[in-house]
Amino acid sequence: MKPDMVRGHLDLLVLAAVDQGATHGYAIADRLRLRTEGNLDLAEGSLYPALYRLEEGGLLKSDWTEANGRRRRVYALTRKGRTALTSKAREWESFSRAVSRVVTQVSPR
Amino acid sequence: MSDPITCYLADLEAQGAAGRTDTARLREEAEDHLREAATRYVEMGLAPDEAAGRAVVDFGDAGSILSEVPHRKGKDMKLRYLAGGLAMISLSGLSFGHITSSGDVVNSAHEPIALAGFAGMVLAGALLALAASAAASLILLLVGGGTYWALSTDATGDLGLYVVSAGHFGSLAAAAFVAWGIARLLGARGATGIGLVAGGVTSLLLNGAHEPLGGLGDGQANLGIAAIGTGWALILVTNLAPRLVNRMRGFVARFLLGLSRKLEPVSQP
Repeated sequence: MKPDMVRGHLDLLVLAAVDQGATHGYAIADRLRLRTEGNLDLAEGSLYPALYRLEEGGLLKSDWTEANGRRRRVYALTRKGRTALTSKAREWESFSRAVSRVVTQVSPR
Repeated sequence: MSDPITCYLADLEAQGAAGRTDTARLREEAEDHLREAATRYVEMGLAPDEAAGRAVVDFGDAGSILSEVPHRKGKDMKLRYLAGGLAMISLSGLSFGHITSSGDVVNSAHEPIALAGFAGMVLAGALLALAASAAASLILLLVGGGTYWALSTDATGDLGLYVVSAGHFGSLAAAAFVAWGIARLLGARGATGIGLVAGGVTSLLLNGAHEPLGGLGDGQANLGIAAIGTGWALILVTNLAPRLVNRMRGFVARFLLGLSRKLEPVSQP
């Protein structure tokens, strides 16, 4: 999937990845890679601006922890984030279903 | 320095545009991410240098990541603007009330305004400092609060000189912290230097008010001049050093790259 397409849905993807449990940036990238079977063409560093944006919007909260002698920022969903995730997931489902109905009717030439 | 992760982080820092308030945090998180990714690649069988290089490539271009980092908004930013506004009002009050290091310390006709202005300056400085450093905020509250208490209660009694010095130093600290906080708010480089210059200018002005321009030899004036000098030195170093260091890094990196190419074994036909 092209980076521009991914970027448009990055917030939803990040929220869904964090929904699996509080974790740090690298693990979020890892979860996304595993769940999409490596089909997302996205620079891993782009996750961080998205994480900051979501935190600023009150959808995520974060805290420093210590791991391997390094400080590590761990992100978790807030209640507002969980609600937003449910609503965004529902929106995405209805959007993808609608697009799919149109696109599947296109016959290959 | 030849470690790709270290080079990348240096580049990220160098490109960290002024005003991107979370560059320090991003740098720390990026390092954790890159080291973790490199470790995974090493576990998969790559050589450490190759693993680090691969991690950097996966992470993406520093410039485009930085361009997406949101400017700080929300409560924290509102607090800073509020504190900045309060500082401006307080400065006007302070100027109008005219706290000087003269014998009376506070012009008696406008004493309440001057004291309110001074208290506002301390509070605004502390709020601005708190957004960047809790320790700096505490220092200002202790210095400024103590000075305010000494000025408002004339607690030192007959020891007029100490009251004058306390008033002088407190005003200097308040001006320095307010300037430092506003510089941080605006994302200027060398905020500490700017704060020192503001403190130094305040010191000279107070000294001038006490003994107009004639008292430049006073300890207080010397303190002001020293603060301004140190401030400017800091501003110059903070603004020029990263560029110089970056050029040096670039030069060393190019040299090592050229050297490694020359030393690369030629494949046998």
